[in-house]
Amino acid sequence: MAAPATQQIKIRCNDEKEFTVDRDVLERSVLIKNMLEDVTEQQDAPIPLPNVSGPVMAKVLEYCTHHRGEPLPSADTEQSQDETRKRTTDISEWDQKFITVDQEMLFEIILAANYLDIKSLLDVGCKTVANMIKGKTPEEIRKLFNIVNDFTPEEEAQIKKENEWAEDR
Amino acid sequence: MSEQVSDSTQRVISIPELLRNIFFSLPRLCDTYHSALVCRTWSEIALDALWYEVDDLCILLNLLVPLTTAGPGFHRKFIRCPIPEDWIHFERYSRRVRTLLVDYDTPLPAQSVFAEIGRTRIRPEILPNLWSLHLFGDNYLCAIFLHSGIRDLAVHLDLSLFERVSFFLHHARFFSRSLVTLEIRTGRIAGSDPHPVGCIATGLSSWLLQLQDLEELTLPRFWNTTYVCKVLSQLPRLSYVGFEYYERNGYGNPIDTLTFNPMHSEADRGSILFPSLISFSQNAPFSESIQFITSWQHSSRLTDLILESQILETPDSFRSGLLSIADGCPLLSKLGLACLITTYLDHPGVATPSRSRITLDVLLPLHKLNHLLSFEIAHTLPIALTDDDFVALVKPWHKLERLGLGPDPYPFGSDNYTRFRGFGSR
Repeated sequence: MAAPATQQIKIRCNDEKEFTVDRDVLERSVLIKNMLEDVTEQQDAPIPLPNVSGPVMAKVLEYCTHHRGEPLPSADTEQSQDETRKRTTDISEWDQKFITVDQEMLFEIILAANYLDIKSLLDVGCKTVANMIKGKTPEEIRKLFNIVNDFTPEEEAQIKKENEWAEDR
Repeated sequence: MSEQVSDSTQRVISIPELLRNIFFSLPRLCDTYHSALVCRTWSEIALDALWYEVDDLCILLNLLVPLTTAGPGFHRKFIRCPIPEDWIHFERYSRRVRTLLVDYDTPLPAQSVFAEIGRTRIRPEILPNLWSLHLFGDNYLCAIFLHSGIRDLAVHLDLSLFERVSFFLHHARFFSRSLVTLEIRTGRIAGSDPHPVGCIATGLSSWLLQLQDLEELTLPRFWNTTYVCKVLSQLPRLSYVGFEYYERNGYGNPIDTLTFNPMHSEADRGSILFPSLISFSQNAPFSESIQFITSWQHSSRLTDLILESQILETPDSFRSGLLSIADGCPLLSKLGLACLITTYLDHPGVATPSRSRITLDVLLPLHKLNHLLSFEIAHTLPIALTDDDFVALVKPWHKLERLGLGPDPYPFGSDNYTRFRGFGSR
């Protein structure tokens, strides 16, 4: 017996690029899943995604297609999410290959994952940024992200004094 | 190093939720500390991650008032008494702490530190946003950190230190009423008999009765006595009552639960007791445990059941137990029965130690449990199943995911309770 046909959904990005995607792939995004659940009648018009460009959406869809069928994380409170969140930057082999992109694309993917509410992709992106921070001094981190040190010398000294116990942990 | 970064990079590194996700991913605290020194925006969020979980009380309290230097044989003290300005400054860090772990080997400050904290604090909650507190070892003074916001508590109660335990229970009764999960561990002096839990029955029961939000309770083995269980049966949200075999969890005196009859009266049997319970573990003779389960109104809702007996159970008692369980608990997905002792405890139900082994016939009632995914059984003697018996046991059992048929090799030893570690773990 033939498998039931999967519903196809159209989406339109901010550069007018359109994609037609299986519904279960798109539903990795909690934002789109909720949108689809709110629509009772079948609509042919594409879903507009004004905060995502075509090239970034193509990468996001590559991720969602690979992870289709996996259980979605439950909507927990902030507290229990933090509790269960392991302090780790370990990333699976496939995800590591997937996220090996230039810095601009990496941050675009993070923003897209945040907007589309794809928690597992957001975690992969954030772990990758955490990996960029690991082992660097505050000055090296500032240079990496072009951040201005806005502490007064006194403020900086106080934070150092009160938290330097963490230097060797 | 990039001098110019993209607009998307700038946006990501200035959105607090994303920074929080990044900092909580950092495995080493030194990287979190370095992030706190980057700029003001990063600092606030990185410090939240750095102080989220505290496992060294002295490091934290040193921010209230500096502590004296540690030395061999003495505990650190405040160099002076805290004043209100110290407490205001301390809130910069104390509000960030969500989990406090005081482990068995965590160096504790001197008693005077706790006394000065108690005397000078400017609000009842020392760590106002603390929701998880794990207190192990001889640290009853840490009860001072209890407050109504705490949802998760794990505590070691050494019954040989009766006065200290009583102090803790008295404090806990008033300041930890909102607990959702509670784990109690115990210990004993090597070579001595475990203390009967009855010595703290009043204090323990008074405390437990306050925990109207409690959902999960892990007790030491043999602590769920008739008296304790009657109290627990009144908790409206309690869904899990269990024990662990880990050495660190300790155990009570097996004699305390030789008689286990929380529903001895008609009034008990007619009441709605344990309205939310779905997972139950008990250490008592099978006949006692099963009589309780089958007389309890909502036992048909149980999905997990672990029973350990401290007397030598015969194959017949296993079989009659399984028959009763199969009739009374049709929704069970996890079932475990264990009797591993080698020391005979005097009990009217058992005249002499049995040398009979468990056979297929004993286990066949399991086929009535249509939802069963996991079954483990452990008996003093190895289970007697031929290859054909094994096939006959598992073939009709389509949902089976896990089957444990007794420890192998034969578990005779000085302390078989701890040999089958993990049997009752969740």
